[in-house]
Amino acid sequence: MTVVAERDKGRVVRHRGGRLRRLIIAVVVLLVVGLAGTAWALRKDPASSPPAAAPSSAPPSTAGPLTATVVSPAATAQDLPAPERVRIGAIGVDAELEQIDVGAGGTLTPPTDFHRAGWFAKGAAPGDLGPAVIAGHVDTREGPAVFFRLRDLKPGDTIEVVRGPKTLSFQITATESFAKTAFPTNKVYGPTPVPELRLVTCGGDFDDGTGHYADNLIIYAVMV
Amino acid sequence: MSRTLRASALSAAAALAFVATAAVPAQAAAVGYVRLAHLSPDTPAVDVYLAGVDGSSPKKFPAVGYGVVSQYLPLSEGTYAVAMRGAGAAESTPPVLSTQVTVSGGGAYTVAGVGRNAELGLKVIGDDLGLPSAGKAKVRVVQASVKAPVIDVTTSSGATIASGAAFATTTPYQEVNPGAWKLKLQPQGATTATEVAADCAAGGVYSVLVLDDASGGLKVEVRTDAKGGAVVPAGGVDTGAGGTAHNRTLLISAQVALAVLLTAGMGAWLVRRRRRVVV
Repeated sequence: MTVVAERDKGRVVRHRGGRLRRLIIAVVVLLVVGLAGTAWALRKDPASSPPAAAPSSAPPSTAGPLTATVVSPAATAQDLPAPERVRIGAIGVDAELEQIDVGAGGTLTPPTDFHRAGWFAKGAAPGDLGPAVIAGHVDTREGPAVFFRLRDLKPGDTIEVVRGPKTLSFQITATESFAKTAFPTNKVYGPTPVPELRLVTCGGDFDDGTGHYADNLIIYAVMV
Repeated sequence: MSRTLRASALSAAAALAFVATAAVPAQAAAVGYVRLAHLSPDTPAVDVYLAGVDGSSPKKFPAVGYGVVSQYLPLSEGTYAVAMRGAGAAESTPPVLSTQVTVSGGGAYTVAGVGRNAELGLKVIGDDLGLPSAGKAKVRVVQASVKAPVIDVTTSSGATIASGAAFATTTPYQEVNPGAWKLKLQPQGATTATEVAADCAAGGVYSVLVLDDASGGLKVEVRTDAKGGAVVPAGGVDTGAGGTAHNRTLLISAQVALAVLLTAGMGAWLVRRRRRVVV
């Protein structure tokens, strides 16, 4: 450490040499921290984070009497035709439904049309007892696709599914993101005691090498 | 650490924390399921009240008689109070029985009045609605018959569903192959057995309710507790081609870096300015 004394307008000012260098080091460190923080923020999987680290968004709702009344599935489903449209008013979605299946390897094959959503036809039908699953693309190679704005949905929003003459309503209860390698199969496809719905799309980081997103965004809803 | 560096680091950390929390997608409490059951053969019909413990007004299920099991109700996570009063009793009267049930996301619970009237209790039974193994169904027995206090339950192909199921108990789940089964319920020590048809689908979860009927025999109900799809895909689904990804990552990186730099610079400048004091 060198000490430099200089004459500055007749007064002696002592200051340490090398201050500029230390400042540059500080800025570089902060830049690295900033970019690492970005990567962390984008990669963050809220489903695996402990409750103590919960973000500033809404805390779990306090207990209250029933949030949704049960509609008996016998009153609606089996003799209705296959679901044909899905509507989500809060984000301006009104799309046709195609039917999707599992492919080789047992994984779900996504819809062929980026502007239609796909109902997994070998699972529960929306309105029947069990979890109906509808998947849709978040984007095409050029821009947004049918489920681009799924990330803006919140609990309490409504999803409608049209089956022939009937329109069934579902109320969102939760939204979660998971890495595809840690997909919550039991939560999404597990048996449910009432008719339910899950919407699935992609999210998280996009891997240019594989051409796929790292995460799935899942919206859970219960029929009302 | 110099004060300049410390101030810069602190301001940068504050900026980072703010941006990081803003970047995380929203979440919410999941939903659990509760149903109510009257499983006491010699207790008359009751009114059942279900309320959140925050004191909000309860939901009433009037005149629930022996053998009645309600549909599951989806409820937000939290603690709920269940109270039973004689059918028609005023809500202001003290309940005959009460208990609490804590609902966690994805959990399912049956709150049942069980046992003979003299030893009546309210029991919270956990229902495991998780996925059966691929292509299977899950079955268990809810034994509420006092006339046949111990029962063996088998399928027509000889598989055991429950062995020695005692009154006022529930048995663990057994996995069975799907199909239209005949279930045989044999009270231990009796000569006659009761048979009932059960149609079990792959991915389904069932409870076999064993009750006393009015004429001294057994009344058996096979309840579908929950249903999943027959086929369960493995893993997630690839629903995106990346057209919106690059913009988003770059934009957020740039914003964060800029915010960090500006805040750090501001912090450093403020500290340095204070230090330029005459010594």
